[in-house]
Amino acid sequence: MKKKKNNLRNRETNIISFVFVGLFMIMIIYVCIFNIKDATQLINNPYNKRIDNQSFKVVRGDILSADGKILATTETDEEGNEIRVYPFGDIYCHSVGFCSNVKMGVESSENYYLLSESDNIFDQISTDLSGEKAKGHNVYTTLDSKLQEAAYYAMGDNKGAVIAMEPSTGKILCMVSNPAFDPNDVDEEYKEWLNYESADSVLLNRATQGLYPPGSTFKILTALEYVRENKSSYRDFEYVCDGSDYEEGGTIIPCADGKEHGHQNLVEAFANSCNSAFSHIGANLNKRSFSNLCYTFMFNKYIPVEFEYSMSSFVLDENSGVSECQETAMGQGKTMISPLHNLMIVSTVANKGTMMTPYIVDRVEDYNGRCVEQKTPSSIDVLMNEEEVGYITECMEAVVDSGTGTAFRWTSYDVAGKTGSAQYDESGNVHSWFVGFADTENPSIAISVVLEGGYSGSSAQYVAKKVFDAYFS
Amino acid sequence: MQTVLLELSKYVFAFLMAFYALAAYRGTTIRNEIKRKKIYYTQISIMLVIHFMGFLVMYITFNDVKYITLYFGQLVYFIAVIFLYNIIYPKASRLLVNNMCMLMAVGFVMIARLNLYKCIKQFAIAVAGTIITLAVPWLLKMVKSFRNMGWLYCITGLVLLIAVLLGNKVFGANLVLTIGPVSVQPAEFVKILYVMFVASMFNKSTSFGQTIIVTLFAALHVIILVISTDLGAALIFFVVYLMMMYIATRNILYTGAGLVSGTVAGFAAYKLFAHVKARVTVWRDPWSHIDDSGYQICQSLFAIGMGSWFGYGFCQGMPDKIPVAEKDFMFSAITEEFGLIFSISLLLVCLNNLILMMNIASRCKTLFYRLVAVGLGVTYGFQVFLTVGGAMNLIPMTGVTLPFVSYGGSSIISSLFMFALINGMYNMRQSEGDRYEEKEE
Repeated sequence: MKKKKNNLRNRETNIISFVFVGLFMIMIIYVCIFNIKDATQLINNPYNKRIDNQSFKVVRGDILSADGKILATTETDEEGNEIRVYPFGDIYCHSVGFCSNVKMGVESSENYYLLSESDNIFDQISTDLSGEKAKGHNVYTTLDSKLQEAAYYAMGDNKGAVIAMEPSTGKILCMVSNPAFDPNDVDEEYKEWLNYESADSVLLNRATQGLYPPGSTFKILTALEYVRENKSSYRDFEYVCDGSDYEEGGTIIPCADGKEHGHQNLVEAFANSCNSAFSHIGANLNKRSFSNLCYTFMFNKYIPVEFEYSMSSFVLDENSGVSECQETAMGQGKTMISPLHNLMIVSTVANKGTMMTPYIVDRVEDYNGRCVEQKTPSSIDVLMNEEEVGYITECMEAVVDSGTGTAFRWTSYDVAGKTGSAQYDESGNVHSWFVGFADTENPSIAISVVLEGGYSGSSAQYVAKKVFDAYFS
Repeated sequence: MQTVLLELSKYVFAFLMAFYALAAYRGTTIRNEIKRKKIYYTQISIMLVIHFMGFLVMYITFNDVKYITLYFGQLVYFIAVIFLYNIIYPKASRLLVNNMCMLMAVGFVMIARLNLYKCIKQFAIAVAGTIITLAVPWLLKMVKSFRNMGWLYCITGLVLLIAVLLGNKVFGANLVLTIGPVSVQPAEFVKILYVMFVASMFNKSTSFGQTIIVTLFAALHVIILVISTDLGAALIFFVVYLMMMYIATRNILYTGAGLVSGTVAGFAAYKLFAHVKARVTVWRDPWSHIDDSGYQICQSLFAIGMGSWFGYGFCQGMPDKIPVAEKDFMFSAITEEFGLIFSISLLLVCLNNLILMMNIASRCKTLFYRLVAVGLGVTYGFQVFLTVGGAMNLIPMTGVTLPFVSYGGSSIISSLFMFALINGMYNMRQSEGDRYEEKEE
């Protein structure tokens, strides 16, 4: 009886207690989940100055190429000073980056892992007890040293960029940007690098941050749009080229060097990079759907990569005039693209229509070789169907077999590609482009090369050839 | 060897704190007084060891004799508090006194690590506050008419809040009232007045008419707080009122109606006030605002993430990277250096305090005391939820302190007042002549 009375009195206060037990449990579970699931990813942030504090306890780990070459390591001299060493000098400078008061590249994006000790709590206690510094994790990149070196030497003194990836995964196989710098000198020369004239700025990773007019490489998307708008009749396309094209209300677009291509179907026009034919196509395309196609192909959009890049831009809309349509269709106009983005487009063709997210860090291992983090390929979207992939590939093969892609006529592997020369000023100076992939049967490498105007020696496709040669040798 | 000891200390800290929390809950469930005594002594020993280790690590790291002086001052203080409560109020809850000392010990250690001079100031205020509040349980017992002064509490509270609001609007002061050299945060004290007001009004009558009147004046408090941008206090006042009304009227419908209207009012405030909207925006995606308004919460999350389970090691992290860590982000600062095992145990000690407060509420026969106990308990518990939940970005940041742990004179004095009132009720439990309770003990 007494007890019952007591219980009745307690009911309300007990309910309040339970409510608070619930609230506190939610907090505890939330913070535990945060710690297990999100924390490692979130604290790896340049705003988190705490990570650098780790360098008092942990020796920064190594950065390695996919084939195990050490690209960055920490050496300790007799006095116990730690020095960050980049054995390959400027060859990997933009991708590996540097680690000083400022950081760049993998050194910046993987800062947290490089300065993390083993997760194993017993390992941690034993290093704590030994009084020695723990060893940081090692970061394996996707870069292939053979290809990286081939690309670096193929560039010579030319300004520009080379970037290649495995189309089926998005693994970046090599990434070179010229002019380069030697990351071993970062402490002494960083200020000078910043002071360079903007055109020469060595710190700019042209492969991902450089924006160029795409030139004729853009005809891949123009052709794709034409195929989509003329599903049943695109193979019947005909155009007679007399060296230039004039459209009602538009402008006169000449072919390169005023060449007359004569009677062209779409594959031939693509292979010969006939500006007149594409100018004619451009003037008659549906602007809205063309703009929409470019949007799905990641123009004017954030690309989900973990390194610095610049956003490409495509500005055609329903109010654009005829001459802008003509110019945009052949890759001039106001369109700007990064070599990385152009690589993603050509890789989409190589990967049967699925665009993959490019990535440069493959995995992180602790110093015992135990895998801490393994990156898995992720796709962005399926952007082309089987028929479109087949046809665009056919066009790109024609470039190599009978068109402008003369560098690959006698190679042991089959290449599909597109050349481009993008005019960037009134005096007719051009950037040289090449995008492509090999083998055409089962593409395992795609490449994007740009040589900035005033380049010397052979054009971009010959740089690509040297990288392909290294890959298939 | 020295570094080895420092490294090892973090595991000892985590273990001790977890053990303390366990002891606190055992103490709450066990009825046998001899066994309970053992638990009290275990708790006191752990508290003193953590406090000692904290200051030892700071002395070794910063190599400043002031830490030693401060340590002995605080040691004497803790022993005096425990001893005095035991002598003067033998029926006070010793668990509550121990928990209070534990929280203050952790607070002192962490504040001293962030800023030695702030810790000295905090300590001085705590000593003064303890001396003043030592008389509170006695007063509560002697002055029976406290329960009849409802309007006095209400008007004093409202006047203080309006003074702050005007100070805000006119002088741009930040929720602070400055009189000569002393600046106070009146909201900290109005919290207690408010609880006393509501308790006293419902003690008179719980009729529908009375409920309406109390609700109107309670809502007035909340509205003034929202306008003066003290969102944390506004939320606390709202929730406290709901809970006290529920205890007084035992009518779940009122509570439901209160919750619904509160949600509507919250939504209206979100639409109307830019400062409410700003908090919510940062809460939803702090990372996009990391340069400005989200900086603080991102640093807080970095601190918690870096701390992980065992912490970065005391005096090894960078808790000073979080702006005003010693006030609003104590939880993150503690987690960074002592780890989650330690800070979650600390959270459980706070929850233990709330349960102890609800226990005494359930034993009070007089509705007034019962309501005061519930009101203070909810104020305490919800404030912990707001500050800790805010620090981990579970809820938007409201800028309230963690009682006893955070830096702030007004905060620690008002917390001491609250706990003294609760102990006053523990002290009265048999004097009220409740026979059931006599048998239980």
